[in-house]
Amino acid sequence: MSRPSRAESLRRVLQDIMYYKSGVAGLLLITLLVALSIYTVIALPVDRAIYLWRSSEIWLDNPRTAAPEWVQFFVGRELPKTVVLDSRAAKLGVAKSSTPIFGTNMKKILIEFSFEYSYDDFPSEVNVFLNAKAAKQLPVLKVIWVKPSGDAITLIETAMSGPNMSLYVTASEHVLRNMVGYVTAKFGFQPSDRCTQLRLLFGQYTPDALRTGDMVIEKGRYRLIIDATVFDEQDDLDAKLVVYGLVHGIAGTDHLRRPLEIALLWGAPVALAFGLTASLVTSLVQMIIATIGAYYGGLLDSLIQRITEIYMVLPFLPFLIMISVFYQVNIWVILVVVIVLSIFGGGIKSTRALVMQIKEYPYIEAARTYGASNMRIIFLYIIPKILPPIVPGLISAVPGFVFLEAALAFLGLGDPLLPTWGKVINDAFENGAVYKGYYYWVLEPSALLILTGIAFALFGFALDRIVNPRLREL
Amino acid sequence: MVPASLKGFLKYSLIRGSILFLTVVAAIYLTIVIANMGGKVDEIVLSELRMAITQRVNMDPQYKNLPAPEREKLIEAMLENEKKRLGLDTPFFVRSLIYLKDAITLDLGRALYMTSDSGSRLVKNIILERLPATVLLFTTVTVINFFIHLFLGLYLSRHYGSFFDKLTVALAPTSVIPGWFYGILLILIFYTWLHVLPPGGFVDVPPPEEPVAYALSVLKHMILPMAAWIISGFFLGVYGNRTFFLIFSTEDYVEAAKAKGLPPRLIETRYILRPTLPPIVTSFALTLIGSWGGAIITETVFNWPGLGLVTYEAISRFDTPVIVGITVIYAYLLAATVFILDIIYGLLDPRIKVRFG
Amino acid sequence: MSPVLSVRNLRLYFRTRKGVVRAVDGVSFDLDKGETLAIVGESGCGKTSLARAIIRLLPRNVHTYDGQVLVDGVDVMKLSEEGFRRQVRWRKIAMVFQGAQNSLNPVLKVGFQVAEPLIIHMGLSKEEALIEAKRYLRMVGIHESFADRYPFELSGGMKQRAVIAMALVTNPEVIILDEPTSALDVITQANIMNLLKRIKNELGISYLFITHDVPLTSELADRVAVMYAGQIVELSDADSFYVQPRHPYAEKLMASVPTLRTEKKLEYIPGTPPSLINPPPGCRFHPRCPLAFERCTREVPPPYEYKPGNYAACWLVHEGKR
Repeated sequence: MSRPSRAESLRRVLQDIMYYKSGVAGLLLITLLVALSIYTVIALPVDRAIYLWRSSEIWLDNPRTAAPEWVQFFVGRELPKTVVLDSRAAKLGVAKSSTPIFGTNMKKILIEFSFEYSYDDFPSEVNVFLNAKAAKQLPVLKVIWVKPSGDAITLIETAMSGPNMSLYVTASEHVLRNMVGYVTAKFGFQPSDRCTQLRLLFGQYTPDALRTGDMVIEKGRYRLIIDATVFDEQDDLDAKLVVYGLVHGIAGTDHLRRPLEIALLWGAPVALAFGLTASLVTSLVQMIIATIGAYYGGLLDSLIQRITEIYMVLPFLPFLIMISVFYQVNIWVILVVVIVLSIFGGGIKSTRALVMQIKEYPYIEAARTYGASNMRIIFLYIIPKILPPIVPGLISAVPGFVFLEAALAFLGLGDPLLPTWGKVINDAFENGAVYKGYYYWVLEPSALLILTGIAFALFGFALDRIVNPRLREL
Repeated sequence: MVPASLKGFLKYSLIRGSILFLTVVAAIYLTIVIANMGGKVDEIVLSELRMAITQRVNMDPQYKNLPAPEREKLIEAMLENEKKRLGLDTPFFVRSLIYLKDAITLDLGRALYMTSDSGSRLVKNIILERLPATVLLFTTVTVINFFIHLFLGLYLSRHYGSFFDKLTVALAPTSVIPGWFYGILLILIFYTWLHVLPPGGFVDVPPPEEPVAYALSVLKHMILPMAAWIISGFFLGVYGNRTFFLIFSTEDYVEAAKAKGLPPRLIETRYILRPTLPPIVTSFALTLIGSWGGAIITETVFNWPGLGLVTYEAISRFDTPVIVGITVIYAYLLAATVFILDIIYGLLDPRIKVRFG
Repeated sequence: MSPVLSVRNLRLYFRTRKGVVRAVDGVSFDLDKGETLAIVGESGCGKTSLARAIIRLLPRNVHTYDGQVLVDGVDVMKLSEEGFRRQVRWRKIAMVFQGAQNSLNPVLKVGFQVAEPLIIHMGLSKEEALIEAKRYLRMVGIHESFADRYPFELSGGMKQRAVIAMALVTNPEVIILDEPTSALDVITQANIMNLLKRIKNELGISYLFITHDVPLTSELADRVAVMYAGQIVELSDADSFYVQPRHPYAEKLMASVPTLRTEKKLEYIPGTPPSLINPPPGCRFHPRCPLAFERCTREVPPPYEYKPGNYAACWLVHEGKR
C-alpha cells in the first residue's frame, strides 16, 4: 500500500475540519475579522487613523457621548440627530443678508437659521460658532431664539471677544439669566431651578411645566437669528449653528466627540496582529527550545529546565506592568516584552516530553546511523512530528494575548497613540460609563473582543480534536 | 517495609526543595534588577528629591537671604543626607545584593511613598494588610471552581453524549474570555442596569458595625467578582475534566477492573480517580497560581482592596521596595505551591518513592 | 455432562461513522469442563470482540447485542448489569487481557490487585485475601515478596503471570485468554504456556484461548475454532484440525505456517480481509477462495457437522466434496 500523497492528506485534514461545525464557524469568523482588518488598513491607514484619533477640532460638530443611531429601535422613540447650519453653506434653512447703514461705514448683517425639530427627545447641546472678518473693530451682535410657539427670546447681546468666538449656549449662565428673565416677565413667576438652558430652549412653556421643571419637548419650526452690526463695509460675519443630537453614526461617539467606529475598526488589525504574532513566535521559539533541550539532553537540558522553573515563579503581569510604566511603550515594545516573558513557559514541558518519546524511535536511530547531522534530524524528522500537536495550542493561545493587550490598555498602560478596543473600554470606564449608563461605549468594543476570542477558540478547539487522536471520537 | 521508600521520599523532597529555593533566589534577583531598571529608578528618585529639596529651600524664609552659591551648597548637603538616608550612595550592584539578602529573609524594608491603612511604612505591613482580601476572594473562587469542575466533569463522563454533555463541549470556548472581562459585563448588568449589586469595593460605605451584617456586606461585594471567575472557567473546566476522565476510563486497567466484576463506584474512585489525581492536583495548583496572578486586573475592575490593587498602585508610584516586596511574597508563594505539589506527587505516584529509595 | 459454557447465535454490532460494523455475527459453540477451545483468525476477524461479548465488556457505540450465553445452563444474557457483575464476572468467567502490561492499575500494589476479587466477590477480609493472593502468586511462579511491589517494578513476563494469578484467584470455571503471550519474547512465551498447561492439568479449568498464532495453540487446545469475518467457519478437534482442516480458509491458514522438520512451500492467502460493514454476500470467504463456485456467492453456508462434534461452514463440505 502506498503512503497517501500530500494532496490526499491535506484533503483528509480538510474533511476532518469540515466535520466539526463549530470549527468551521470559528474559521469563518476569523476570516471575517481578517477581511475587516485588511479593509481597515487600506481604507484608513494608521497615520491617518492616529491623526484623526488625536485631533479635537475635526469632531467639533459631533455630539459628546452619543449613542449609535440604531439604538432608537430599542428605545422606541425617535432620538435627535445633530443639526448643523452654516451661513457659508447655502442650504434650505440658512439665510444671510447684509445691509449697509446709511450715512456710515457700518453694515447690518442678519443671519437666520431655521430648522424643523420633530424628534421625541431633547438634544444634548447647542453651540454657535462665530467667525468675523473685521478691519478694526469687532462686530457687536444680538442672538435671538424663536420657538415654534412664537416666543422670541434674546439669548445674548454682546460684542465679540475675538475674531473667532464660540457661544456655548446650553452652558452659558448669561443665556440662562436672559431666558429666566423672559419667562418671569411673560408668566409672572420664576421657573424652577430644574429648568436648564436646554429645557428652556426646546421645552413647551406651560405654567405647570415651568413650575415643576418637568418639561415636554416642543416640536415645530425653530429659528436662530443673529442680528449683527459690523463697523467697516469690508467686514463680514459668518456663523455656524450646531444643535447636537443624542445619537450619532453607526457606533456612537465618545467623550471627545470622536466617532467610535474608527477605534472599533482599528482595533481589529491591532488585536489580530498582536495576538497572532505573539502566539506564533512564542509557540515556535518554545518548540525549538524544548526540542533542542530534549534532544541534546545533559547540561543544556537541565539549564533549560531550571530557567523554565524560574519563569514559572516570576509574576508575569506585574513584570509586564512594571516595564510598561517605566519605559516608553508602544505596541511593538509590549509585544516584544510579552514574547520574552513567555518563551520559557509551560508549553516547554509538554513538548519536551513528546520529543523525549520521539527521540527513541527506531527511525531516528536509523537516521543517525546513516550519518544525518543533528540539525538535520531535528528539523527534518522531529519537528514535523511535533508540529501538529502544537498548532491547536497556538491558535487557542491567540485570545489570551488579545485579552492581555486589552487588559493593559484597560489599566491605562497600553500604547498611548493607537486606538484599540481595550483603550475604548478604558476611556469608557474613566468617563463614568458604568455610572451614567453609556452601555454602547462598553458593549461595542467588548462584543468585538468576545467575537475575536471565541472565533479563535472555536477553531483551536476543533483543531485540537482533530490532531489529538484520543479526543477524536469524543 | 517502609524505611526504604520513606528515605527515598525524603531525599526527593530535599532535592526538590533546594532546587526550588535557588529558583526563588534567581527570580527575586531578577525582580530587583528590573524593578530598579538597573539603577534607573534611582535617577528618577534622585531628581525628584533634588526638585523637592530645591523647592523647600527656596521657599524657606530662613534661607531667603543666602547668596546663590551658598544655597547650592546647602541643597547638595541636604541631598547627600537624603541619599544616605535612603541608601542611594552605594553603587547599584552592591545595593542589589543587599536587597537580595534582605528579600530572601523577608526583611522587606520601608516603602518610599506608600503607607498601609494603619499608617505603617513597613512594606511587610502594607502587604500583610492587603493579602487576606486577595486570598479570601481568589482562593475561595479557585476552590469552588475545582469542586464544580471535578464533580460535573465526572458526571458528564458518565453521561457521554447527553444534551448537557454536548452543550458543555459547544460552550467550552466561552472560557477563553478572562474573568475580569466577564466582571465588566456583570457590573454593567447588575449595577448599571439592575442596580441590585455594588460595582466594587470590599464592604458597604459606611461599613455596618455589627459583625454579621459586616460579613454579609462583604459577601455581597464578593458575589460579582466570584461570579465572573466562575462563569469564565466553567465550561472549559468541566469539559477538560470530563475529557480527562473519559480518556482515563478507556485505559486497559479500567476495562480489566470492569471485567473483574468490581462495582462501578469502586472503579470510579480506585481506578479512574486515583491514577488521575496527580494531573488534577497539578492543574488545581496551576489555576491557584494563575488566579493570584490575574488578581491585578480583577481587583482594579472591582476596586477590591487586595494585593493586586496594591501592586498596581506601587507600580504607578515607582515605589520599588513595595514592588520587590510583593514579588518576593509572590515568588515564595509560588515556590511553596510547587513544592507542596511535588510532595503530593511523591505521595501519589509510587514510582517516585521507589526511584529515589 | 452439560457444557460449562454455551454460546448460541451471539451477535455484537458497533455503530461507527462509516456504518454498522458486524464484529460478531452469529457465533455458536460449546465449551466442556476442563476443555481448551482455541479461537484463531486474522487480526480484525472479531476474536477480541467475541471475548468481550461473552464477558459483556461493551463499548459506548453498541448497535446490536443479542444471542444466548449459557453458563452452567443459565442464560446470563438475561441478567441485569448488576446481576451479571455479581454472579458471572470473575466468579464463573475470568479474563486475561491482551497486553497485560496495562491491565494492572499503576498506583495499586500487585498483591492487592490480585486479592481484590476475593474481597469483592467472596467477602474475605483484606488480610485473608492477601494470603490467598500470595498462594496463587506462588502457583504462577512469582515470589510472594512481589505482592508488595507496584506493577512498574515487574517485568513483562511477571506481569503476565500476575494477571493469570489474578484470573485464577476466584476459581472460575472458564478463563478467556486474549492473546496472552503476543507481547512477550519467545522464551517467556514458552514459560507461560507451560504454566497454563500445568494449571489446566491441576485445576481442571476450561480455557477459551484466543490468538492469531496458530502453532501456539497446538500445545493446549483440545478443539480449534477458526473465525473469519465475524463468524466461525470451522470447529474441529485438535487432531483433525492440525492434520486436515476442512474449510478452505482454515486449510490456507495451516498452509501458511512453517513446520520445523519437513520442507514445505509456504502459501499465503491472496486478497485482503473483508469489510465487516459490508461483508460479501453468500459465503464471506468466497472472493478469496480458490475453490469457490456459484452457490458460494449467493447462499451463506451454515455449519455442517462432517464428523460428530466437528463442523465446517462450507458448501463443498456440505456436498461431500471435501
